[in-house]
Amino acid sequence: MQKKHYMSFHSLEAILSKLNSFQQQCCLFSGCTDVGVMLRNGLIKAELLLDCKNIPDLYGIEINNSHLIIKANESFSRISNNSLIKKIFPLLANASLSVGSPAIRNRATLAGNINTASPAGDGLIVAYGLEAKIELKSINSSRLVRIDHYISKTKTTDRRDDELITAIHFPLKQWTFQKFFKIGKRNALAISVVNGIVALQLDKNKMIEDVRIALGAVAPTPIRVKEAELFLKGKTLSMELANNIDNIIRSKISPITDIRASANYRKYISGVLVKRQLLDALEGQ
Amino acid sequence: MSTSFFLNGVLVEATSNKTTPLLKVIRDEFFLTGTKSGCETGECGACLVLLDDIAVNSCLVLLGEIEGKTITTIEGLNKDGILDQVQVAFAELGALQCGFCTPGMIIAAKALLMHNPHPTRDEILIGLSGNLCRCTGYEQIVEAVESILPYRTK
Repeated sequence: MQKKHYMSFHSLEAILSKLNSFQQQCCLFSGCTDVGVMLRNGLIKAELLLDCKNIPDLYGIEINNSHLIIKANESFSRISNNSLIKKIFPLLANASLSVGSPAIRNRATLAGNINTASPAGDGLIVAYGLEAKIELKSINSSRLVRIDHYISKTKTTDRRDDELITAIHFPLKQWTFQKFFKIGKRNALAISVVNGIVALQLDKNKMIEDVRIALGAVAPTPIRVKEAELFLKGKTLSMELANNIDNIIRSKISPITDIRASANYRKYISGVLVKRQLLDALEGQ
Repeated sequence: MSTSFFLNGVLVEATSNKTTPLLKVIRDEFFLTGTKSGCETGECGACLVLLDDIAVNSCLVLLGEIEGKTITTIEGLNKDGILDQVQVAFAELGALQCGFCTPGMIIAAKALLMHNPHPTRDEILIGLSGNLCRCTGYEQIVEAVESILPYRTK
């Protein structure tokens, strides 16, 4: 293995100006749980490894106007334990608890999970379903990118070489029902066979005012099943409606067969999982 | 350039490249072979150590990251030769078969109890969920952790 160089940064200005002036490719990391594996497998081409973990500005979970903002260095352990997140977005707290193992969650970050852009990322699918925006900064620019624009294809993002993810912005919304779900070979340390979220905003007569359905590991990137959302919107939540949703989900996704599951199984179970959420919502769970 | 950190209470200087996994540094530079090398990809938990009292997979920590930090390995759990109560419980209840996963299991249990002094059985299962025992001796391991709980002060 070629020798790599490690650099740690203690301020945002310092790392952004380095990113701006570097001519060589570099690899940014915080928790090192993905980068560490890639390094071992010789998959990191960059010679310079830049550690963002010691930048204080990249810590914090706060509400700012209409968004919940999670800074880039926040680990899944801290996200799953955060009282604000447990209250506003319990599905994100639950998804965070399903990532890896306790030791992985102590270091792995949501920002890193999003940037790895795996089709099966458990934190990523929540960000996808809740229409999160990615905050990217460079020395002379700052922008917010919708997550479905940020991740264009498998393991590919819209980040420029001089940019750093600084935070994830989640639009605040009063969801009546919100659930993260996942099927894996085992609970810990298993990549999802299918994961996803269902979020519903219901009026007092259980009419569906707004709905989000997102699924992971059934396409090259996480997806929103917009046809199913359209089908549900404006209708009253009922047993009959729930019984119709599984076939709609199955007709709108085209998963592949891989080492973890067959395409048919993924298609079938996706329908079951979404239907189950609607039934749970109906029972007020 | 060397990296300074506290290893089991002693300030040490490691001379490996800063992108070397901590696991390799602990075993090959300091000859502390209690920390086991299993999958080297964060999936088995055999290499767990405490980094400032938080359990981490040492195979996924780079040496450069721990400058000035405190690392505790299985060798550092005893106090003046007296075993930690988690170590005693594992020995007393025979919570091991081949023993390869034991250091990682004990570190995981120690970290769990440091942050949650009275875990439920489910919480113990989650706390140990990142550690694989290929002998599948999980039952005794969970029992060993549970056996400590009555002796802990609220």
